[in-house]
Amino acid sequence: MQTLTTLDRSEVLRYLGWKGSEIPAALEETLRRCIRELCESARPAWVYRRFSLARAGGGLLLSPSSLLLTGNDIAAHLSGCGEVFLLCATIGLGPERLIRSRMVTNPEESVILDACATQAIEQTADLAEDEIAALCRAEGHGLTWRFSPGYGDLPLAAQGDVIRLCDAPRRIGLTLTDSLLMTPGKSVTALLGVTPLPAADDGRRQDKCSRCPNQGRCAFRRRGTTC
Amino acid sequence: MLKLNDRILILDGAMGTMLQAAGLPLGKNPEALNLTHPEDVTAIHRAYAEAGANILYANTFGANRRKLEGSGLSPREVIAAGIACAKKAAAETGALTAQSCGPIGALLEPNGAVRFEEAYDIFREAVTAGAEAGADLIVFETMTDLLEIKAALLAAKENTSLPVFCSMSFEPNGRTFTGVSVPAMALTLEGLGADAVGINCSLGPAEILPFARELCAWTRLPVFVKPNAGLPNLSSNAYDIGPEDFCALMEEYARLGISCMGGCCGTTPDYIRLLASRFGGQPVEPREVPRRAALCSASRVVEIDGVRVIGERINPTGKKLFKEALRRRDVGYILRQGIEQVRAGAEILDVNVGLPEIDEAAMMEEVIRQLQGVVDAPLQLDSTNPDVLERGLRLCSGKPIVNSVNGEQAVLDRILPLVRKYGAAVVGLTLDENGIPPKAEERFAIAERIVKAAEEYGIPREDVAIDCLTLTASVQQAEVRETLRAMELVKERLGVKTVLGVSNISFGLPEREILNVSFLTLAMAHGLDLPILNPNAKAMMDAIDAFNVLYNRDKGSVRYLERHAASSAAPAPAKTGGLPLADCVLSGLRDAAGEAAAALLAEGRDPMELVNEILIPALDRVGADFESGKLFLPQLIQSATAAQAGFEEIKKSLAAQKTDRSVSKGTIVLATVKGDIHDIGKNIVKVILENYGYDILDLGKDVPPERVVEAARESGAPLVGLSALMTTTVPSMAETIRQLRAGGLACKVMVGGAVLTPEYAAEIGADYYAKDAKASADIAKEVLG
Repeated sequence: MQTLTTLDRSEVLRYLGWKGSEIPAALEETLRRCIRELCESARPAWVYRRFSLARAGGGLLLSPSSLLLTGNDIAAHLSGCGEVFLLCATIGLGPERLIRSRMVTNPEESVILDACATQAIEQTADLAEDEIAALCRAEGHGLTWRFSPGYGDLPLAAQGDVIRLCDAPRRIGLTLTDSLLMTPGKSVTALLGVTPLPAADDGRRQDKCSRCPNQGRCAFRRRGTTC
Repeated sequence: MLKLNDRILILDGAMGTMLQAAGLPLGKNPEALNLTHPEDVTAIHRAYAEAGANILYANTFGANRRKLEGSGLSPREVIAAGIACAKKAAAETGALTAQSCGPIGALLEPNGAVRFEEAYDIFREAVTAGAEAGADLIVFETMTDLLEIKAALLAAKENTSLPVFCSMSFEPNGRTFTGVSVPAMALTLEGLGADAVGINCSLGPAEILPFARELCAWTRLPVFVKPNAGLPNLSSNAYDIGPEDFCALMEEYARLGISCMGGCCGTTPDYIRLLASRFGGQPVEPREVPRRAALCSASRVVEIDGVRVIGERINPTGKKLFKEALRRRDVGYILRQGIEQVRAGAEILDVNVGLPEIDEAAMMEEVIRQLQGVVDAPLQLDSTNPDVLERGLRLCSGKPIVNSVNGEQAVLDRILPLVRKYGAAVVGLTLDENGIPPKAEERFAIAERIVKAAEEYGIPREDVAIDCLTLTASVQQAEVRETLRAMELVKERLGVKTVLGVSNISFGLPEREILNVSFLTLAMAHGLDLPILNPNAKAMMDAIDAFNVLYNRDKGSVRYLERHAASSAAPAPAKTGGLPLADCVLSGLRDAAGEAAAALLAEGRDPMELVNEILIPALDRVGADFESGKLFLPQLIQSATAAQAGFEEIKKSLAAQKTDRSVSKGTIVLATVKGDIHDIGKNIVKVILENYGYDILDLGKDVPPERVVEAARESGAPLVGLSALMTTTVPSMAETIRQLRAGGLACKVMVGGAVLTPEYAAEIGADYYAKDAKASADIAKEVLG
């Protein structure tokens, strides 16, 4: 079973909208404690499944399945890829309970915990990606970055297919609500293409936005944050 | 027909992997194959029947309304076809057919958006169809949420007469995805009337074994297991244990005394054939299961094997602010009382929300829904109204205790059937239509009657706790000792647990805690198990710690040392007292702010002056610093909660003055719109607005438009705030605004959420776009002043 031992503090602060002001010692201590509590409550888990890609009927067909991916952005993302990994990752329901309960008694800690949880799922997805990348590397292949349903012109509804094809409800407890919200909320679904050559760099963290097809339209960026 | 404690019955193996291996198109709904490829489905059943399975699970796992949506198929036709396929194969060997019923595929509240009643209805539809189609039994399997499987079990029990097997899936840490433990599952499902309980899927036979052992130790019901064929390999998707190894690993299960075994994912007729030849028809090993008095929530079991504190604070009796919170439907206030008590050491929470002018049953439901989302203590449902109790009992995730019955036959006949049906425990008060008898022997006689009546209704005596009733020393001094004597008699002669509300003893006398602590200590020495008290009273909790040391229950004083060694060594907490109120708010010091406000009020300062000249200006300065980036979100909230502590003191002072003056600046309705369950943004806005002195009517998350309109109309709130986090839920925000306008309400609407922009807010008809919590306070000031 996977665990997270710590979280990138600067990322947590970024999610909290920190702009470099001085942090009082007591708040610094609270931040440290929240990171610890969140790590303890999280149950990072992921599941992935590999498919072959075929260009068909105005999209990309994943086989063996009947899933057809449509849109220009996913086509661009997977151009040159013969295979794709579907990934589902989550940190479980524990953090949500903690955030909910703390909102009642100590709301400032609740927002810190929420930012920690956002960072925790990011780190969890990174761990999963590392595992898949290692698999590809062993075969002499590379891996694209994580492209999620809802990015660019890939419909958010594709999320349901990714979750179903990965058997994610049973394997990691990840489900969708009727309005396509993931539960647990801090979860990720993504598509990663298997590229013919090993990727030259591993710079996914630094320029996540520069490679996002949604740049220019992103509501997060307009508000000065990122997803 | 179905004998479970006689000989081991063999269950079948996996269906999904077999369908796949047969080359059938699985698609979104593998159950559709019951209609399109019935022969192929029957062939798989036949293979299992011929391998020796005594019970065949029909291919109906996902045949429910929600999962079949969009397929054009109804649960009824899919289930009927599935049962028919299995029955056809079963008839050839005399096997039984089970309707397999999996999770609905979306999470229940508070983790997801599905309400208990909706889940119940989905299961009701499915099991009714299964029974009509001739299933011999119903199996709920692969469940991970205790409340969901409770909805399923109730649906089966209330709408069919079939035996019901209940099985859940556990992760390597011994918990389901939603945090349910094996003992919590056993206590809850046995109480609710399951015919057998089991574990399936997720792990292989080696990993499930310790959980099966635990299950066997916690239930008298027959136990069944269906492990996977080991663990899956993520890359190849293959399972790693073959039939021989699988069968060998099942030996230990037979020794545990399980009644039925089969296989889940990855298993085939080869596995079942080996199981059948090795274990089929072998006598079920008898099990020794100790009798236990225990309560539980979904994630926490409280065994009553020592003194366990029941927190009494969720109760409006004699509490002006609590009553006010109930009238305003301020569930947050009640949740806070719950969490604080658990932090202070309460292991069970009494929940009493009775107030003549409110809908007590609806409030009980709401409080239980929300309370179990934030605390894991088992609950004690406290009401005299059977309707309130029943509606609360349905929603409890776990095994609660009902407070209370007494010796009056009519009361016993009204309440005990509910206790039995929902598998709860019950408090019995030693009084009857003639009142509280003065003598210990008379109270004992009533207790005896209650225990007998409970057993007649099928409630075991370990689930009865007797309250010998604390009388007030200032009024009935001579009878105080009778309570203690009666408790001793009850404990010795009836062997049941005892419960007592402690603090009533000191009513009308000064320095009540002196009497409360002494009486508590005496009561524990006379056999009290479940004191009902305020756990925030440290002296009371200390008395329990001391008792547990002195009575050799806290072996090696481990717990005592844990709780008290640090306090003698640790330096006194840094004093923040004496800081001016404004500074407390600016620095976000909550306790200090409360103290400073109380000190100013004690000096005779006018409450409104404190609000307008100190608190609001301080908050304004914090707001400005937040906007300039000098402070960030946690600090903004800290300051707001510090101001809140000041407001609380002011409210208390106004309440004591019995004036009509109020610090409220008007009401604002807040809601996270329908379909959206991400409510953290709304919650932050609530904290900030409350601390600017507005009354917030918080409708919660996933709120239908009609409910927002109704609340806006009833409250006359001049401002409604709506939040939506996802692009998929913004349309329901637009619809809510449309309905508010169509309803002719004059209120202004502000909206916020990650994907909104000022332009989009205007487009959907909002009056204001709040980019963050501070902006919402500015808008509130503009609209309400």
